Amino acid sequence: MIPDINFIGNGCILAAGLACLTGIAACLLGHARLGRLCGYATFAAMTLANAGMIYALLANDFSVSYVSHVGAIETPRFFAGISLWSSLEGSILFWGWILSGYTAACLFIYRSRWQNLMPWVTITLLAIGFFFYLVLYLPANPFHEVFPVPDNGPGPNPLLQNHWLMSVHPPLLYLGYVGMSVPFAFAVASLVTGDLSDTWVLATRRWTLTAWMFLSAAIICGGWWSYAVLGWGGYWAWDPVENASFMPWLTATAFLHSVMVQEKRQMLKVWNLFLIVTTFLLTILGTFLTRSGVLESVHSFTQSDIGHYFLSFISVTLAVSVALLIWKGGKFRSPGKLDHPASRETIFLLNNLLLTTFCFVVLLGTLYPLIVEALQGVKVSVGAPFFNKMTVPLAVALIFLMGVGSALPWRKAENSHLKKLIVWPALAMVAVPAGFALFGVREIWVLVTASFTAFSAVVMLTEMFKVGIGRIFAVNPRRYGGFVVHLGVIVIALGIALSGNFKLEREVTVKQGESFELGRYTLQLDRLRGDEQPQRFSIIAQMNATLTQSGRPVGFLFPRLNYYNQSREPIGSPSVRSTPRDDLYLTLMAFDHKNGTASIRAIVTPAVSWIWGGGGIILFGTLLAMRRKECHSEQSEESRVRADTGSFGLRPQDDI
Amino acid sequence: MKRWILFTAIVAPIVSLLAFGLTRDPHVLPSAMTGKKAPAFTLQTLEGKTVSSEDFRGAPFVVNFWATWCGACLAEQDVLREAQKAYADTPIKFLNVVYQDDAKQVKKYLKKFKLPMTALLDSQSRMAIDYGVGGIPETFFVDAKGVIQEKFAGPLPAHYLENQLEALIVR
Repeated sequence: MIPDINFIGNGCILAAGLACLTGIAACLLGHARLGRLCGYATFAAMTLANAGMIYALLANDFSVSYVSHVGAIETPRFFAGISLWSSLEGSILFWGWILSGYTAACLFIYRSRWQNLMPWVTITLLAIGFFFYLVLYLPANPFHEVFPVPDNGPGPNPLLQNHWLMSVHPPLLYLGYVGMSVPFAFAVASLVTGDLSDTWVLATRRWTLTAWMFLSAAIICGGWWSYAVLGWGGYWAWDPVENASFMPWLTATAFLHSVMVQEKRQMLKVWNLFLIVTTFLLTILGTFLTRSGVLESVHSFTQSDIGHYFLSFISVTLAVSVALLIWKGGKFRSPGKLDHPASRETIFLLNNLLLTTFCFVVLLGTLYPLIVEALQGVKVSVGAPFFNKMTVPLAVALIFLMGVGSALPWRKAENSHLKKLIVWPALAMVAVPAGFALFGVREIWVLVTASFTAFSAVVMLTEMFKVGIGRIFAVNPRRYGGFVVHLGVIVIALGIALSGNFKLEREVTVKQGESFELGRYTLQLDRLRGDEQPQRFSIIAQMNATLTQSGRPVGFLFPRLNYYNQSREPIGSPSVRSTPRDDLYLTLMAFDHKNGTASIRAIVTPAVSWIWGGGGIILFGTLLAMRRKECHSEQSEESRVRADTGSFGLRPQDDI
Repeated sequence: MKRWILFTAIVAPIVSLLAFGLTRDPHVLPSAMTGKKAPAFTLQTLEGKTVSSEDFRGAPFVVNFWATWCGACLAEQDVLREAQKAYADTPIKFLNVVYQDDAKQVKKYLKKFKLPMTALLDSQSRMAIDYGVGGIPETFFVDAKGVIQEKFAGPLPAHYLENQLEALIVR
């Protein structure tokens, strides 16, 4: 007998919701173990529901409403499988599964620890889960029975079946967003119970770092997808939904730094609670903006009428969080104070100030159209110039602080240390922009970025080399993993500065056999051809690229226009040749089959691949920073490096 | 008391702003075609017979764009069928224009779901382009003077369709 997937799916969602209610009640009545078991039960139920949906998508079961909306017999099975997150209901289903996974993992790992905190952690996580399962069961139910059953469906949005990055960007984003629930649950538990210890900080640092890593990777992959699919040659447009993923990243980054001040100096306790609560609220705000269609965005294909549910959830979460911070936060105030302006905690404080200002600017720019319309009834839009003008100085200042903060010790830097700090980085700070200027670079923000990135990179590389690349990660993975992350950020900053300022662009119409030049490339249209696939028909322009000066061939590029059944307009697929020096990016804009002509937009952008590479470095650095220091080697390493005070008077085992 | 003021000052504006956001839809823009003369068209039935806008001169008509691969289109067929039955004695005509689909597929589909409609094929989506169709199902209501009075995107609700048809008769 063929299983009824709709029945199984709905049963699983219902079971997950009931498990949440039971678990919350159990924890409130003092049965923490039952609460924990309910957490595991939500994971089991959501795993089954997701498996059922993937099966239905792969088997083209059009009796399942979600499959009838996003499935198609012609869709390649890879894209059919990942259609799970190509539309609203499937995305929420997948979101629910990740949330249940985080919940079960957290409850399992801490099953025998922190008896005072864990019941409230369980309650918070299950309450968040209950909301999502409610949304899944009512307004965003993917398991409605469709009758009569259609023979075929429209297939997923064409933009979402054009690139392999669609298989990683949404899952990474959800892993990042949802992962912030765990530190939020600990913050709530800490506030409710009045636990003044650093327990929640110790417990959640790694969870926050994990979620932060996924969010970082998701933001980079999102930019990469936009670049590789949309055909405009850019990777970031300050779209509301892009901003929505960036804002929690900024506050989480601030938290990862300020939490060290709490660990080392017992300061900023309330501030840390505020940051983690804000980060969680911003992830929900991001989801609200994406799903409700409140703001116009490139992600509008996901809009729906679930806005009211999300509004209720945000309102309750915001009210509870603000109430807890106002009424309970006072207990957490700490008496610590800054000893000296030249100390790491001072720099971290400045870093936090800049990161939260950055977040506020992005939030203001994102919501400004809504604010103006609410107050004056006028429709306005805020574009990239506002964001660039406001955020570039903040970003550049942050890069500078990254170097200073890494070099200074806790409490107070001695003058001799400061002198050591200044020499090489200061030289690099002057020499690198001077070198850029010699090559004809005159753009002030590029020179400033080059200067500050050089300063920070030299600070960190000098110390890493002094301690020894081979052993730094054994001595203090957290500190030097952080250094690697910072180096990744520096690579990205340079990539953004160079690609944003030195782009060459040309739009030409050429006949077959004709060529044109752009930058160091000569491009010839070899031929136009058609390509029939089950799910689409494509027109492909075969472009032969050579280096103008030497005549050396660099290869063929194949920009194409894809025609899908469900889309009247063709969907372009750009073709990119990526090198560390520059990217050659071609888009087929139009063609005339009769005359054999093609209109090509060609873009040569330097250092774009640095951004993706920088993302990889960040990922690697975060994984290093998450490693535990080996206990058996700790003592011996410490004794070995005791005499070695690092480049600037720091011991390598000091945390950053 | 101070705490309550602080609480309200933080929570109320944020919730109010987001609630306001839900009262409007930034995607809703009035169709550029509403109030304008309906563009002329030439379509073909599955049997190869030509149907043109000239055949509807002086009569109000409803144009519904649909396809076999569109689940929402199937969902609204009952509403459309009932309306066609109910308004059979009026001068209102119904045009079921197939959007980006294959004639063989359409024949098979009509037979399978026993749909009594006359499907009209829109070669190279010319009519859909002229009418500015953004997605399907999409329905246009054209009065006896040939002016587009309303456009509706998505599956038609029965009461909405009835109101529009009554308005076409009055006009």
